[in-house]
Amino acid sequence: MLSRTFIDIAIFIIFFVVLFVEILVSQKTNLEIEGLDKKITVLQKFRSEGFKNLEERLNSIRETLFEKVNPLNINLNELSKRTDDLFEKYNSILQEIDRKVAPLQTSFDDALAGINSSQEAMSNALKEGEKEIKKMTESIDAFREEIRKIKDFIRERTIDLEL
Amino acid sequence: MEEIIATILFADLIDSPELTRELTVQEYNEMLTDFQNTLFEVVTHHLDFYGYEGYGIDYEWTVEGDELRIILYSGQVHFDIRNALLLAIKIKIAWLVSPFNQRVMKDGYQASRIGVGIDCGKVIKDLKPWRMKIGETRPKIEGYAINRTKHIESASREGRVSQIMVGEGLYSICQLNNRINISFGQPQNLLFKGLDQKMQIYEVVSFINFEILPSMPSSFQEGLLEKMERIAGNGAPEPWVLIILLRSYISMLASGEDETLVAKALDLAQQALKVLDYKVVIYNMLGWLYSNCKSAHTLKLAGR
Repeated sequence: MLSRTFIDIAIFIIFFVVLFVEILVSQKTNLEIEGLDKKITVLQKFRSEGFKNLEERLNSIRETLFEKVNPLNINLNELSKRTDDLFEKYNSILQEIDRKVAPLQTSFDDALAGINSSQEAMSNALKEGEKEIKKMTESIDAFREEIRKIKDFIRERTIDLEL
Repeated sequence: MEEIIATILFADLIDSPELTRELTVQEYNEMLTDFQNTLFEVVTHHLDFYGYEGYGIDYEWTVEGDELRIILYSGQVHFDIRNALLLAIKIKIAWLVSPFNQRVMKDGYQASRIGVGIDCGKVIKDLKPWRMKIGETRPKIEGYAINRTKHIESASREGRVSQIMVGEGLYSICQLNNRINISFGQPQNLLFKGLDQKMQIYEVVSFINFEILPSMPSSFQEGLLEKMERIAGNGAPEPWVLIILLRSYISMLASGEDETLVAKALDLAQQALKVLDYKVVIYNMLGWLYSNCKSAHTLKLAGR
């Protein structure tokens, strides 16, 4: 019986020791959790403050940018408008030029074709001329040779008659 | 059938009977080949050179054995006569300077000579039915003038200057005017075999024409003058060679005086005067030399 009581007591003590340890651990954990909570809270606070700051800064930047970009935007619009105007004017000028140039182009094409054909004709004429000149030169040379022969012939015939 | 006035020329080797005796058949054949080649070259070149249109159109010619026959009928008889005379002299020159004769003379023998007969007369150009039956398509020239010229040619060996004999037809045309610078010897009345009457023929003793040597075929031109000079200086040359050579000297002197040539011409003229009966042509040439070459006087004074 005694031994049983001792075991029971031992178990009881162990139980209480374990319980105590557990309580201690639990308390420590709770404390840590609390610490963490506090840290989280602080962090959350920092974060919300950071966000706030960041948002403020972003807004500030956005405003600054807007301030700076807006005039540019206005200028750009004006420029775009001017470009459009210019483009329109350019188109109208081009159309006007086309309208005026079209007949000229046709006549220019005709003239060019005419020039080309004239050039070709001239080239052919020149070639023909060269051939003709060559032929004429040959004829003249042959004629010169013929004249020389005739002169020789007349001279020799004259001698024959003298003899 | 067409009646035309033609100039007919016959030529053959004067000494062919002697040649047939002295040469072997092969040697005679070689000579004949040389002879025919020479004639072919001279005749074809000449007819082309002087503008004859073509065989059967205004001329025809054949060579058979040692006999050449040319018939010219361009329609201009003076032109045909002049060409026949030119051809006669040219074939004589070409044969004289031919390889065969050069060999003969080198061996110390007398050169083989060509006799020529020329005459003019009416002939008929016709294609007889029997000729058509044997496949001939070209008209033939026939007529008594051809036979007569053949007889005239057979008398050429009697000639003493050129051995070119002409008939009455050609002689009378040449006497009508002086268009052809030709002189004839005394007429000879000869009776030919087969003819019942005598025929008058004349020898050409002078035919002055500057075209003879320059219009020779190019294959004969090289060294032609030198060969003729050798022939002229070799023993007793035929008299016509001296006249041709002297005339060619005058042509050269007309282009420019050369004292050496004048001296050669004067020597040749002296040589010709010794052998020629008809001296007028030589006196004329001497007259030309003295009139146109100053050095001729100097040479005369020096006793040449």
